[in-house]
Amino acid sequence: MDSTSQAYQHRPLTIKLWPPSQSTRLMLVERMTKNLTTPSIFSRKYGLLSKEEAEEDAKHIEDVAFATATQHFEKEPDGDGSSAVQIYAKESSKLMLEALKRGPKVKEDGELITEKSGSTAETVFDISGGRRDFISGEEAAEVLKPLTGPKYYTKICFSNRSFGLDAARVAEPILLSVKDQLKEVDLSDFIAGRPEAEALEVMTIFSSALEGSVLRYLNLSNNAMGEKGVRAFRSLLKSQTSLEELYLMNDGISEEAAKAVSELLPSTEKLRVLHFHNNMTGDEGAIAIAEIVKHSPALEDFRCSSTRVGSDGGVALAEALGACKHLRKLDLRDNMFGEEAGVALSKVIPAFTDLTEIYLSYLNLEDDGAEALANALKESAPSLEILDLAGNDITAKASASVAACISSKQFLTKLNLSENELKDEGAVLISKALEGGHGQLIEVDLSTNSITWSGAKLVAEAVVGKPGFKLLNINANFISDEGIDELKNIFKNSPDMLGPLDENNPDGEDTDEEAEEDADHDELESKLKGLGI
Amino acid sequence: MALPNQQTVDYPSFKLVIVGDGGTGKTTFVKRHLTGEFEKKYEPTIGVEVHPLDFFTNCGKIRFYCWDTAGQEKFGGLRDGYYIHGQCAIIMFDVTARLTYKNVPTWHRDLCRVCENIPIVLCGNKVDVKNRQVKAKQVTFHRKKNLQYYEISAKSNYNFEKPFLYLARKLAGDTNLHFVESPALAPPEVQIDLAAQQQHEAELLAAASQPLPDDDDDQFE
Repeated sequence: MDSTSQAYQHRPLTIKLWPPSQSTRLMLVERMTKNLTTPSIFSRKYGLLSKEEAEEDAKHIEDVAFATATQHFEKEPDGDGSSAVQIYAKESSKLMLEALKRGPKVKEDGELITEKSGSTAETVFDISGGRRDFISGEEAAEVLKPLTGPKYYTKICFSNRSFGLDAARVAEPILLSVKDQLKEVDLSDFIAGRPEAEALEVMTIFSSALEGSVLRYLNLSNNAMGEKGVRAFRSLLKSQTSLEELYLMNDGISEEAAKAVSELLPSTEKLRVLHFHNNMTGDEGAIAIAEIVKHSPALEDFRCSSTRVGSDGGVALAEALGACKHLRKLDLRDNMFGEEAGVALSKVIPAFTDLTEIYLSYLNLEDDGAEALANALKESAPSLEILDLAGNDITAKASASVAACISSKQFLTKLNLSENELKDEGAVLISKALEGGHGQLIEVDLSTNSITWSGAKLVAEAVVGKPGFKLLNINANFISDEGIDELKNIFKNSPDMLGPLDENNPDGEDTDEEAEEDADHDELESKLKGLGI
Repeated sequence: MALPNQQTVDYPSFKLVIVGDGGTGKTTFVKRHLTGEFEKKYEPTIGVEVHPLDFFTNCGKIRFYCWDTAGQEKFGGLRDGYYIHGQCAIIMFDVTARLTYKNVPTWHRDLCRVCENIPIVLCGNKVDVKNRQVKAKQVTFHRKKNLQYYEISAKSNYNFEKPFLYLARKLAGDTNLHFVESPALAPPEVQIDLAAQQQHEAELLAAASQPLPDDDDDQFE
């Protein structure tokens, strides 16, 4: 070996990563422009950017990211500049996400161009931006003027503005003139602060004006509708046979209102998304919703969380969901299902082969319900990404089944088992289940589970090495002070991965027992004197 | 916004704003005091309804104009008319629906944007229900914001007068003030399980000695 090659061998190899070449920078701008103009989950929600706007945004994003990274590099030169590259990438991603969420810039008149469909440009008319406000008749005439022009509008959003009778009467003829071209209508939160009689009349006017439109998307959320409101929308609902997405969240949907929705909708054959979150349906109302679900074979995303549904309603919903073979996302959180409804749901879960997200927290499932569901999930939903079983009084008894289920779900990104009673025994089994594979895991929540240091250590060791892992929440457990230090040590290279530990109780005493022993019964007696029985 | 039904009376009267998620029992609670009846059928309040409620105290008569507001409306802006000139408030949540407690901080923030430094009572309603989703020891928000907290049940009449008594005392600046004539209520719809409720109250007392947790962050959006 000659001296030249020897000298070459001993010279430390350094590749300069910062600053990037001009061509690299241009390539990034190009790629960001492409991403910003590609239809995505964000463009569905916030609108699609035009090529020009995306290009402008991408250039600006790259400039800012480059400046930030350069500043870092000058302050802390680290040889090859790898940390500057990381900052450059991180900053670009962050700013791009902001641009996507901001959506296209809305012109003064509320007009907004979005994705092209064939030769006709699909246009969104959205007045929801800016301050939440009452809208008068004159303002309505001004704001809605673009709808009277030659543009072809397929989507309208009147959310975030409160329409009174004057404004509704101005909107009525305008809506009549465009209803045949409309595909999506968002009337969420559009009667706030109006007296009941006026609000109901406004709903009726909008309903009549839009009657006969062939909608694929309808959002009537945040409107205190109840049965009266649902019936005020009678004409519109009765004329819808092609709905793909229906949102009735936080609408005061009572048992009677749910029955009215079920009775008025002529067909839900094409329905893919149905959201009933945060209502007052109760069991009887849930049975009415179950009727809708039963006739929605295309359903992919069903949300009936926080709707005061008990065991009977839970069973009815579970049985109805058996007809939905394409379900991807199921959210039933925060209801009073109990074990029986949990078991009923476990019987239909094998039908959900496409399921990616399931939220079953705060359902009073207890061990039997949780076990039945875990066993059913283990054999189905191979692509499950999110599993949420928090707050169900699950003990170590059911943890073997839960762990086996987790073990079989290799695409899991988020696991929430907080507010149960897994203790160390359960934590050990969960940590074993997470040890192998699970390369896409991002977040694990085992807070409030009476876990001590020995259980917490195993969980921490199981997740710390996962490539994309971001957060372990193990707060509000019984970890000793030494244990806390050890935990921090496990995560010393990535401290952000470990969630806060401020609610941890190192003494490991359950406050329930303290309450029973130490409560001041005299004070209790005085508290109970107000009982008017 | 004008103050409907708010005719002047020759004894102390106060504007009381009642807020909280839809279905927590705000209207039922007011009606229970107003007519003595317990309303079983749920119909959401649209906008706001104002009801005068009179109480007889050892210091004379007192009136609360109860502004019973819609729970479904989004926060901010359009609700300011309900809050303006509010002199006291009740924030209601439902112990059978966890989300309603999760939203308490937002209701508190929305209210306090307009009404600064007014006495506020936090009420956890429906404690007569066996399977509660919000346990007494999980209720900590009132301690962070120095509010009074009561577990109540409009259905069983449990603690039904406590929120009004607390507010009356605060507004009168008299801790010895008490009601001298009980409102005429219909009999309770359910008998509350006293032993279980005693246990919940014990949990509350024990929880009061625990360190305060950070704000919860599990989102229901």
